[in-house]
Amino acid sequence: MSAPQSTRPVRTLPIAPALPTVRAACHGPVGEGAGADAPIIALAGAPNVGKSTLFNALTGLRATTGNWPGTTVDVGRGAWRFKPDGKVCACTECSGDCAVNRTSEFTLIDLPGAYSLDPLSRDEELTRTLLVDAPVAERPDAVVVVADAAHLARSLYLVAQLRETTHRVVVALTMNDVARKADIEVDSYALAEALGCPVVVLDPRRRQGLDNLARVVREALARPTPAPRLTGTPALDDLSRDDERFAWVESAVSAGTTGSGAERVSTSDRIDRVATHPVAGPLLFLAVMWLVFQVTTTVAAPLQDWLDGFFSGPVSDAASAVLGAIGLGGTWVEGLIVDGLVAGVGMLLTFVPLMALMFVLLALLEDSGYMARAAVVTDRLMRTIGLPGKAFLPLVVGFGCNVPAIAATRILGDARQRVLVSLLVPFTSCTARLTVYVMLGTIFFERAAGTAVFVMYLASIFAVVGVGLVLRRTLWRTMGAEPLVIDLPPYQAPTARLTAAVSWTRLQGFLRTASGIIVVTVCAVWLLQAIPTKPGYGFGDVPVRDSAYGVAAQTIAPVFAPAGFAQWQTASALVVGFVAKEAVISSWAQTYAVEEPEEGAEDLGDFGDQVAAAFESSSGGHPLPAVWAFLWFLMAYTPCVATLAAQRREVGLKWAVFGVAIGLVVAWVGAVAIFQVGRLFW
Amino acid sequence: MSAVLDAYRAGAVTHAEASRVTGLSLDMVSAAVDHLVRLGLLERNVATFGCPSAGCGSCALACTASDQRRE
Repeated sequence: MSAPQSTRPVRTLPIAPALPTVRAACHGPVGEGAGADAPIIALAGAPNVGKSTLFNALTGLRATTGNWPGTTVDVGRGAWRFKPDGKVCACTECSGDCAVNRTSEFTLIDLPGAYSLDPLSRDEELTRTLLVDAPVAERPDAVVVVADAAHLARSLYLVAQLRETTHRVVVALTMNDVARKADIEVDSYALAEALGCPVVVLDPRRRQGLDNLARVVREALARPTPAPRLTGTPALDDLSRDDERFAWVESAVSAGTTGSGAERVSTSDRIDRVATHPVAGPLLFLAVMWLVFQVTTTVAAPLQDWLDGFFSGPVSDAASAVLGAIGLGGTWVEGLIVDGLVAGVGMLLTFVPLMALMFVLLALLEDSGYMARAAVVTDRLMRTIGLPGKAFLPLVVGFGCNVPAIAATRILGDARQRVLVSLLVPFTSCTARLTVYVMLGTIFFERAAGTAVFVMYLASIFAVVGVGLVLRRTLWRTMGAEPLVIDLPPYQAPTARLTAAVSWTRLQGFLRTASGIIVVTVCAVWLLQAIPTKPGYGFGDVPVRDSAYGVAAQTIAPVFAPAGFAQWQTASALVVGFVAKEAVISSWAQTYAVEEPEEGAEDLGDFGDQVAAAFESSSGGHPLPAVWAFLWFLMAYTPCVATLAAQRREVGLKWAVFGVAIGLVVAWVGAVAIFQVGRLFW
Repeated sequence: MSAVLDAYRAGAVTHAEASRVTGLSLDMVSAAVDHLVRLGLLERNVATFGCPSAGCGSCALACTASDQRRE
């Protein structure tokens, strides 16, 4: 037999090899290929399997190598020189002196990384062009497919496709040490038999197996072009064809390896059996979150009390003293600064230890990899209400802040899905609402404050699911749900640096947003509280209940009578909360700080006592159901103006208004139901 | 490959779940998922529980932020 390349005319590849000038500028010179008569061998394979390393080892050239997919971005070319080691042809008439036996060099082409011959990128398109689309005479003489022994199935799809052509294919098996560490043993002979092409085990980094690869390639070149593998009946569609290829790959992997895949159970996998279990997973998630809130409220409570006393005592006194010293004592300026800014901002700052602790705990859970499992649990919940799996992303983000969560609905491809999820995001309980939960939890439930907060997060999830189900069964009956894969990182020990950085960034964000909102709303509330509505009072010298603020609140308050919190001070906090939940506590505190006790009434002391008395009075002696009703209302109605603006931007004004209406209805109906049922028992 | 796709359509979310449902090895499932993602039949997402500054680059928030910057 004569070697096929011996009579071949000098050829050039249809796509020019790497431009020497570009390479010279960036990565050093790339040598020319071997002589014109030298067989052309293409090096193919998926990114990150050691292809470029092998190219360098075989050619001695310096190509860009690394651990990132897509390192080989253009076609490299070099001479692969080796020492011919004996007769490889099957000729009976020659004594080993035919061209194929004399060959001592190949031109090696380093093709761009490609998972398959169905291109999705320019790199892969180039690989396909060179291997498939080029005329047969212009194709390489053989293709060495570099395959990762540790992830064999991923590498063999390309082999399956190449084996459907007449290419001479040789599989170069790399990463064998990694495979052995993962208890995967590859039987190269069995694998070669299953694939119908030679398999060479090698280690390009240690230059092991390279001579063997040269010999096997020479043997392949000495043989006639192979017949394409049989793929059974012609496939009806692309999916059926892919199915056939994967079945072939699976069969080859099963035949050629032992101990792969199913038997490899890592520690992460073992933990995930519980953490992502359909029943145990949600229970574990709830237990973890309960622990987070319990630890947060218990540990932060003493610090919070101390800060509260600090701002309402020494800081307020100092501010009053300074203002008195400069002649502003008793004026509207003192009212604005001491009762407004110091009270409002001080109230916010009392939550700093609590927020910091919670952010640290959540960052620890994230860094450990657990929160990714929580996402799996959430995803299942989305599916139960018929939402697309991807909806879990914006909804989970909503537990931090609703505004970016609304923006994140853009990841949903379907416009109707975006509208639905945008309407559900406001029911996710953001961190701004957390401050109110904690404050009321501490006042009314004391040591069980953490549990109360936890219950509110459960209520939030319940609201998302409930409203989602109602909307899906009324307005969006035909929405499809696309399958979704979630990449789960392995569990790891959290790092102090990352945890601190993430927590600090979040705390800064909370403080920046909250302080800006609070300063503005404190000034606005103060202005409204300074405007008299009755004759006989001057600007800034009017009891709050007779101010524009107080009158407006008293007008609205009766709406909440069936829910047990019709005190106008409480209702006013909810009105301010429409602007931003961060401002609820500050304006609430501001109202009580400014307000003088009614004549003959007992001075109720600090803010907590005044709030407790307000709920006691408005609920007719059933403060706890009224508090739960208030918390539900706070959780369910419009989170803030910024969220409303985000909804308007993403889904339009009509749906934004619809969202406000849904929120108010769900909030009010739920609050009334909670109070009316609750007062039968408490 | 169809079996893997069916597993995800039936509610599997992770490779381990799909592996349990189909009886295929994790490596095989992983290869099939890669291919299904390439074909656009499956969508892969990095699990995230929020983003402190929309700057980590790996979640929907970051994508959205960069979209907004481009706009």
